[in-house]
Amino acid sequence: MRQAPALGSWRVVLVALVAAAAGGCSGGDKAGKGDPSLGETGECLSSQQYFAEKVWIPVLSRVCMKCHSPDGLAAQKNADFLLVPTGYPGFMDNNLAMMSSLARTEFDDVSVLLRKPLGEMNHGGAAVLTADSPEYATLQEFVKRVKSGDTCQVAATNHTFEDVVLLDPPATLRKASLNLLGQLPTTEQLQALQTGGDGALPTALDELFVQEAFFTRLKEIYNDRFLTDRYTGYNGYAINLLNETNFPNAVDDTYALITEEERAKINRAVAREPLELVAHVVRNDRPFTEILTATYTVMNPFSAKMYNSDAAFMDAANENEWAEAQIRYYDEDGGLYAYPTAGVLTSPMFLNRFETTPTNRNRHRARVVFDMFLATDILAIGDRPLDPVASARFANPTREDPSCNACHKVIDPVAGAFQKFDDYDQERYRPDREWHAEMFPPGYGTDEMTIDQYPYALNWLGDRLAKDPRFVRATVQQIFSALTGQKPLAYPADPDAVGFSSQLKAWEAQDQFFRTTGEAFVGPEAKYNLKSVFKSVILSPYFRAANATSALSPERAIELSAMGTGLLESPEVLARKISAVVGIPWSRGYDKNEWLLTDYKILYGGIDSDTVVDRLHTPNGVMATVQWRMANEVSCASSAWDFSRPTNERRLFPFVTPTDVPEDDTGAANAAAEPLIRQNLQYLHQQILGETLAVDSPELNRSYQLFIDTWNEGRAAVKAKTENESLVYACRARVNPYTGVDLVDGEKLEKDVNYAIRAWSAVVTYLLADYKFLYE
Amino acid sequence: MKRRHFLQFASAAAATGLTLGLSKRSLRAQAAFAGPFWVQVNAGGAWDPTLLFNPVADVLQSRKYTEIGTVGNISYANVPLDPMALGLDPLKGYEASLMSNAAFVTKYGASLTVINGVDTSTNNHDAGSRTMWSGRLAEGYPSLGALVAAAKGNGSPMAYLSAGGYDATAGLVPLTRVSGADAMKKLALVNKVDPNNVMSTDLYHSAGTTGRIRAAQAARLQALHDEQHLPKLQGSMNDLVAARARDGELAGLQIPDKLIEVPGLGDLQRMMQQAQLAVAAFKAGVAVSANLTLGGFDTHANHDRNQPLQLAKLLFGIDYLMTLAQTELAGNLVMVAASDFGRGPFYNGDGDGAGKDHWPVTSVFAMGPGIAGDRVIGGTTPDQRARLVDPGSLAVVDGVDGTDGVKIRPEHVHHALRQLAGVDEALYPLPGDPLALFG
Repeated sequence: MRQAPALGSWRVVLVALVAAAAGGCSGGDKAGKGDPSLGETGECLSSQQYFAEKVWIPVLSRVCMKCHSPDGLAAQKNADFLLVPTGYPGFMDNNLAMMSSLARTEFDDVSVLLRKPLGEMNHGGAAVLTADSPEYATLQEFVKRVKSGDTCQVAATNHTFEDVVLLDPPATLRKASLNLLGQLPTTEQLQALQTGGDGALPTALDELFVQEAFFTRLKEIYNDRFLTDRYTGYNGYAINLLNETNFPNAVDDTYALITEEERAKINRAVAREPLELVAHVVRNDRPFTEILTATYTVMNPFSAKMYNSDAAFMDAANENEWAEAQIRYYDEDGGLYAYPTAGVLTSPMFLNRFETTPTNRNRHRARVVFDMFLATDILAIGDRPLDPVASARFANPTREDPSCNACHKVIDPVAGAFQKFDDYDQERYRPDREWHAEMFPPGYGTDEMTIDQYPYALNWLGDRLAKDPRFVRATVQQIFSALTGQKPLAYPADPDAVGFSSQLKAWEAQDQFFRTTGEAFVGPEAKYNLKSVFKSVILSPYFRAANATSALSPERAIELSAMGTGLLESPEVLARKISAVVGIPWSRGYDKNEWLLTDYKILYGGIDSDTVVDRLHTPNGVMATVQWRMANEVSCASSAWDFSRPTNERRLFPFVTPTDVPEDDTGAANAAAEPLIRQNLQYLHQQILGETLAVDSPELNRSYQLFIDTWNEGRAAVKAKTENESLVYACRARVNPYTGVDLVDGEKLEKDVNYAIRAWSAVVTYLLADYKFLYE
Repeated sequence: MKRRHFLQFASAAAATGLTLGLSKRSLRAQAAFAGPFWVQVNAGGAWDPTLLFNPVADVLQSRKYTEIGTVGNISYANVPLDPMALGLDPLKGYEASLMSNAAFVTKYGASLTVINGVDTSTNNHDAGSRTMWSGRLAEGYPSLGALVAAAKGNGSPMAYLSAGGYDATAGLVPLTRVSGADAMKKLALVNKVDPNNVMSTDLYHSAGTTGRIRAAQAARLQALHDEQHLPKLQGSMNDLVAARARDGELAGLQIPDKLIEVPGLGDLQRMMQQAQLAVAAFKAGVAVSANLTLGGFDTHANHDRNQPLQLAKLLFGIDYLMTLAQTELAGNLVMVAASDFGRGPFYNGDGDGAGKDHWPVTSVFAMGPGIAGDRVIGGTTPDQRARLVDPGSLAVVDGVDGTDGVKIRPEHVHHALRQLAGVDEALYPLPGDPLALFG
């Protein structure tokens, strides 16, 4: 892995952004240390930083949130001033905007923000602060800042990363390519980066985003949220979900008449429809909002039949030909109608995967919508004890009981948008269905749906979700987590905790990155193209940081806690990487299915989209044994096979032959061997680990020693006839691993008289079990 | 920097998901854990305690039975196991894989503590599962299984096994997902080409080469760690070191040649196979605690058909687990059964398809070493609200919570379970005073 201390562009971006947000101020003055308006070490603070560090926790979260939270007393009394808790994406921006607006609102020339806390202006909570309290002084300073604008210019230097070493452009491309495509970059691509440097990296990434393998990975990423691959679990799983009146081709007798192979194709096409829609939107550089707003879905020739579509296809047998089309359904009278379509929201698979019941009334779906598309954990609002006795006092607790309606007034309107779908037969569209009058009416936030919009309720909702800034944040965070394996940092809750200031800086830097990426995503260039988010994350230190320039202080270690590579590869990514690097997959002999996608998928921390839906990112003892098993089996399967190939076709041993050993059969020294062995080791470190080493580097010496020690011991054992001259049966080159056809006698490689193949196999095992192979 | 300050920072760093410094503890050879082992049985979806050991003879609340049975101090809903009523084909003999409350209490009542009237304070599945298995409603606390595994596992390679349910670890201990037996067998002997063929002696590498590869890998990982300064990467290297430290112990894992099959009852089969693998891992000394799970309890519809069926499967599965534990572990196993929360006192409709909706009051039952038998703690009012208990005698009382008695909450249950397991409560403290719920 090559590394380059490259921070420049990143630092510039962050400084520029914050300077712009801060609005032109002077700064760097440390003379005022001890001044409460300054930072911990006397640095000046932008308004945003001042709000985050001085106003939010000491005043708002501790004093005002008691009543002004979404479920607080003030909310019950319909107060305008409501603060959103930290579980909301962009909560700081929202609250800053709310507070700034209040700060500017005056009564008798005094800001409302300075009058209400003293109990003036009929403040419902009476006096909560005294005029001589430090909290009140903080509010005074905040109001002053809002009115006068920022006076600080350099606060953004807090978020620079000059001590971070980034992967150089070729290493970044290798990492991105293996993650997104399961392929190594070509020599030409790497050479272009050697020449063009960082400036050439965006273009190189663009080339990845048009490969079909990228869309396979994209679907994997979104299946981690949609979990609709559950319905690929067996043939017919997806089809069995469909209403047989609406979709007559799903009738058992009809479906059973077609071949097993065709049934598999139909089931796969139907099951993966929401994921294919995501891929379609991105493949065609459409605004990513279409996953919620599209009035079409995508079908291939197989799902088109199931969904009564008349979409035209170039090749009726091509599973990979996807076309925009409308699902159509038959009603009980045989009439054929278009299914109202709002991206994935109306996908039959999505509706079944996140099902409802007559009593749940789509609330689970609403919660999923908030979580999946708005990065909002709606349960965080209601994360407090619930009193069933109190609820029993209300005839309609979800609307009337304050401990219930804080959540329900948020989720019930969204639940109402799914009103035209059946409670039992999840995907069945019922245009005549009435909604529950006793629930909060269908809508979104304060925006209430009118009755004439009910038939198109999910289109109405999809439009609003797509316009919500939280959709942008959710999308950015989804890709960030997929590529880094990390959840976004939580806002540090305890200002008295050791390391709070450092944690806050880490959070601020990451929050700023999300905002920057989101702004670019919705900007005039990207126009909601999801590829821009991928690119932004890949170019960031969160993806590229490889080391720090020197040992970090404990405070700085916390600030950089989210930085860097070091993501344990998922079973899917590792499986593709093995094929890319070694040339053959790690697969079961009897059916050629890959171990990491079958037997070891769950054991290695993967998901089944059914009961196991969270990936493991930390290895355990069992996963460690999977790694060793993989390293042993793959080196066994590939070593002799590679040596059996012509030199120019080899993936592992292009610079050596099995006769290149330090001594010949007679015991005479072979001085020519060591340089060749070292050259091949150098190649293997690059090929398998992406590591560029000098031939005399300590790490190369370690590998060389492993080879020599293994060879010495093995050759002696062969000579002493305590070890066989032949390779164990499973490790012989007998069969072409791609075709399963026996090799002709001249091609077979079954003996290892001088133990060279086994010594090389030991080295390959060693490298395949390496941290840099297993983690990216 | 003073060591105390460093540790404080290391703790703060750990809260953000990172680890500072290479963990030497994980590298040290430790004695294998000898028990008691812990199994948490999760009834996913929220069970109905009135169909278990908190019976109520009120046809408006339960149409499935009119008779309350009693064994010793334990009362139970005397629900008949009629295959037709449970939606099963009477010709398939499914009842042989179900267990009635009567049979269960008769067999295990003398070992059983039942806690009724546990107020979860939530009707939300995720929050309910979280609070019932961590003792805390809010997010961030590890599950009981993780706490026990971390406290007792000494770095066992599979210290905490989970087949589902709430299994958050808070980074205390790695989580191992339970999977099929065939895959596990190949992992027990990673250097053997075909572990399933007892005649085959083929190895991928000689013992000497295997040792060399491992030693070189360990030295290289240490070198990479030594030159690494970013905490995230250091942490991931630590993780790999810890995972590898004792992976060789899996060689002692004796997986049954054939896992149990329960044709037609796939969910019960999965639960019983989970039990088999967990007990095998306990016996090999590589695991400390395990989550087993059975779903299907969220009976908003068809309650009277589906809820008793799932409960009968659950009890059968627990019986299978306890029987295995008796023969393989000399009974040295603590079993705790719980669900997200309870189900409401009344039906949500009139027909056969009626269901019961969410209700925050539920029950827990447990047995094993250190747990007193034939006990029922707590109770509910006729309309299924939690009654109070006297904090000293644990007798059921009425009055004002906190004044006249204490309402049993998940934190009380977990205080008691943690004490039983010998878990230090300092790192993840729970509110309230402990109650001697398990004797």
